[in-house]
Amino acid sequence: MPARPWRRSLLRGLRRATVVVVLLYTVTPILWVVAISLRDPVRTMTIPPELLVRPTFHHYRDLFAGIWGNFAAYYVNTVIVCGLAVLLSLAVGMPAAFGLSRAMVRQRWANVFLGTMTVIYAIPPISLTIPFYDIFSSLGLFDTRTALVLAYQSRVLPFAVWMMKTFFDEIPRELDDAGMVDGLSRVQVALHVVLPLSLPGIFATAVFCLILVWNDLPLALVLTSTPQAQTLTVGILAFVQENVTLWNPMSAAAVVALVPVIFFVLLIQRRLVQGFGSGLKG
Amino acid sequence: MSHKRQSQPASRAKGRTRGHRAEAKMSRREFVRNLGVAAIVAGATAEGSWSALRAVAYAATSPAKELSVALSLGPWNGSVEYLFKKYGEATGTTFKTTKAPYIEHYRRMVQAMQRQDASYDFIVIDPAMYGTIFFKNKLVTPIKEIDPSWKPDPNLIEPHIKVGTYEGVTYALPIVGNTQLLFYRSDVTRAAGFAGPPKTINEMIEVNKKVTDTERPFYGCIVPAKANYDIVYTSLAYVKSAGGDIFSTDSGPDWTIRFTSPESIKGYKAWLSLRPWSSPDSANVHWAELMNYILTDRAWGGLTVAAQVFQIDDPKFSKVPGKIDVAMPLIIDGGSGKPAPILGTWSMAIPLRAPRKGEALAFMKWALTRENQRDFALQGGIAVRRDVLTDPALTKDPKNRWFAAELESSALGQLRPQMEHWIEVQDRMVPYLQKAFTNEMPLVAALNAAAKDVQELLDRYGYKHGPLQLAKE
Amino acid sequence: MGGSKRTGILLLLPAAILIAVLMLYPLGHMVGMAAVQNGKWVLTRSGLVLSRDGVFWRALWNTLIFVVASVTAEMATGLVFALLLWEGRGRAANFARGLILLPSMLSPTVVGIVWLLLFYPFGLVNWGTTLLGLGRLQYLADPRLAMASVIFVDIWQWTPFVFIFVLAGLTGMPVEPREAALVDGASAWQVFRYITLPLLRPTLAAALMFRVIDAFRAFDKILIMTNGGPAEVTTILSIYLYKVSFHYQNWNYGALLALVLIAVTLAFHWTYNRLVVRRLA
Repeated sequence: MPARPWRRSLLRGLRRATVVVVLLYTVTPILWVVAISLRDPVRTMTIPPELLVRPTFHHYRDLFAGIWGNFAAYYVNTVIVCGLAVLLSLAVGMPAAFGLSRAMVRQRWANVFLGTMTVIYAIPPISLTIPFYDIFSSLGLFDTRTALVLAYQSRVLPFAVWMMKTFFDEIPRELDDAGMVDGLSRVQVALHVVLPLSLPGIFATAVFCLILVWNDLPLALVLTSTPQAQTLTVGILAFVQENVTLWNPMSAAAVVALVPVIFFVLLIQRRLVQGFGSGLKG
Repeated sequence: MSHKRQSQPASRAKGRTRGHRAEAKMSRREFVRNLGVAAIVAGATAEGSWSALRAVAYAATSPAKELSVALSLGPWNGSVEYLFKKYGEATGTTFKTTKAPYIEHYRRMVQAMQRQDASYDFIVIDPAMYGTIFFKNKLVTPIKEIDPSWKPDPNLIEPHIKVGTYEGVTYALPIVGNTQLLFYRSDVTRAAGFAGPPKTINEMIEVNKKVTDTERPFYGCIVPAKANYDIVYTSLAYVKSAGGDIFSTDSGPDWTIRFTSPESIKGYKAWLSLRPWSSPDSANVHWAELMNYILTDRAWGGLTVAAQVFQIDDPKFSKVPGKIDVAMPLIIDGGSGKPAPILGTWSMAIPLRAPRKGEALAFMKWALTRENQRDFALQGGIAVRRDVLTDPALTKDPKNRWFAAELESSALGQLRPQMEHWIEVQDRMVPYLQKAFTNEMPLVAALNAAAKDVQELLDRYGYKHGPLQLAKE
Repeated sequence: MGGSKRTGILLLLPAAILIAVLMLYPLGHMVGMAAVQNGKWVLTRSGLVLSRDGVFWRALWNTLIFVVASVTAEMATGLVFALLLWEGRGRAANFARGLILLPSMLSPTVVGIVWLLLFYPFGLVNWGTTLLGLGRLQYLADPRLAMASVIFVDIWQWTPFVFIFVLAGLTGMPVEPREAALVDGASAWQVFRYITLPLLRPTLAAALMFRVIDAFRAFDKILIMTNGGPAEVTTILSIYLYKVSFHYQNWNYGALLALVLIAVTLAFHWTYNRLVVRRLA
């Protein structure tokens, strides 16, 4: 029974209002971070809270002048390390996910593999720091970006494999079979049929892998000690000191750390929603 | 499988043999994958060897005059690094500093010293919190071992040296004379009709009653009680002033628990008695928030550490520049009659396997001379010399009005127990002190429960102690 | 099929190598540390200490509360947000969806600090509640509220995670079943309950698995907001584990706690999956 028109517009209005509330709830703390980055400590935690304060940009200036550490280096390191870590996990994880999804290995091995992945993912990163420190020091890789790229695999690889397997699972096997009947090899089916259809999922995986490592703290903190390999999270932690927390330059650093991720996500986000170009054939 | 081998020759013939094409494609894919793996391995080896090469090159070419030092992050680093620069200008020595946040620095130092690491010439540590781990296990070098003729300059405030001394042997020399100070609004105190800052708890309560206005709001003496070690640190000043303590001795061998003694209970009661005039969120207030209340003109004052002093007159931090002063921690009425500020000194220690011990000690001695401590103080550092803190040229500057209190506090500075497991002991006490603070448990019950936990800890780690005497209601 | 099995193994090989080399060693190292110290077998003794360790049991309880509450809420809000926003077209809709993702992208340190500031008794949250006439609350200092506040922040931070899963799932779903059902006269709710939800099950299950495992490990922001207090109400296992290892330098006991945490995580995930997610279809 079609809904009455007034009822429909009421629902639509309600829906819109809910969206606004949701957005406010989500975004207000972030706006507060930005606001704090533009003011001095004396106006940050006041009674009552000061909503509008004349902005000052000196925290951003100080940040890039290197007063709070070599943030330019932290930035570069973070981009390189996270980018490579995500790419590596996708490169290694995609074939594995495909193999698992299409049951190309014996069920028992698949279960062992997935089970190990889950266990690895469940290890608290702080417990991994010391063994990783041991491994990488003995390889001479302490305080290098390579060490971080490899260490981060403990976070992203299980995740990437699981996620991509899930998305591959959603593509029905009949399509594979149809493709192979048409004369495509298994690999060609993977590349030309399954992959394009699961592209939204792959992009989602990439986004979340990036988010997982962009803000990692324990591993970056323990495995690095100089701007040679230190990342943004380490730089940000430096603002939380024993007797004082430097909220304002920290917020500036946080905003600066957020920008590339936002950029990347907005770029990818369209892909997520686009759906798939060719649509599913019957 | 044999039919596959027959079609092995990788020809691009458009045969319908699916298997053959898959083989060819697979080998190309395999090749690409192998290439990728090789690239990664090559990159890693390259970066690793580059890193190793760099280390070798550094060792080979590092100026004989370079000192490697590890620091924890803190507001005093600016003044400490100024000393490095000045020393460099005087002697041509360069400093290679690595910095890390407090816990990470502590973890690295403990693990580095336990591994007998040779990468640091000296390290800056918090001896009261974790120094004993190094001192007791002789992971750092006694000063006298490097220079048998060394004697502390009489102008160095003795407690700062004591905190780096274990069983009569000095292992660490002070660099930042951090200690407990009562920060307060002198203008508000005067306006309320008091001649000077309150000296005892009872006087404090009088001031609290006069100055607190929960409507504005403007609170009195803030009592920080966040689940941090500072809740133990802050309350300890009152406990010691009352004549109590955590254990019978500061460095053993008798570790009988004394924080349930009548004197200690008196101290804790006094600490709790300040609660009503503190801010409503005190159970989650740390020093940073405490200072924020004072600096934004929302509280009269609170007991915190000298390291906070850089904020009081800076208009970027403070709404009330020039109006904040410092004084001694409060005295417990009917106790020892003296304030008991607890030291928070930062000290320099030389690792067992430090490559350049003599040079490191030379810097440390240089940093503690009058002239250099004076410069240190001018840069905002907290000096550890009596003659600097009383230097008229410095004290006449109102910016340095905290010197007198700093001197008195350091001179009366108290130690915390010198035990390896002090951090864990504090962690056992913190939740009970918090429960007492939030009225979840009566004070005596809380302290008794804490005592039982700590006793269990002492037994587990093999500390000798007398029988546990629980407090009575 | 022999060729397929071989290619299958080849496909899994790089990942398997990476895991074996990089991660099985640390896992083994942890087990070793929990069991042996200085050449002596300490597992039994540590086990006894664990069984009598009041903090551990309290932390375990706190962890379960934290995980159940935050994960359940996150799954619900993530689902709702995605349903609200997935169909919109155009730049405004894209922008809105992008905004929703922001909380997950902030560094946990910053999340802790900003919510510490927001929860300040005179901060924005209380400013809002006083405007609404609800008075002022001590979100982090009141032992009764602290856990709820920390859960709230976790929900705020991780809802986007579930959101993006469901979003990808919704957009990847075949359109025909839903359209057919609507043509047949099904209501929006019926379509959701009997068609959309079952089709979303794999994505929800995956999101759930990751959220559950991650929730057990939350610790940066809690450490900053309350340091596990007041009076240990927000001390969850990961925080206790961190303190035992990094503060007390008791690595052996810390390793044991880590193993227990992993075991609890996996057990919980398996149970939750069985009881809740399987029922969704």
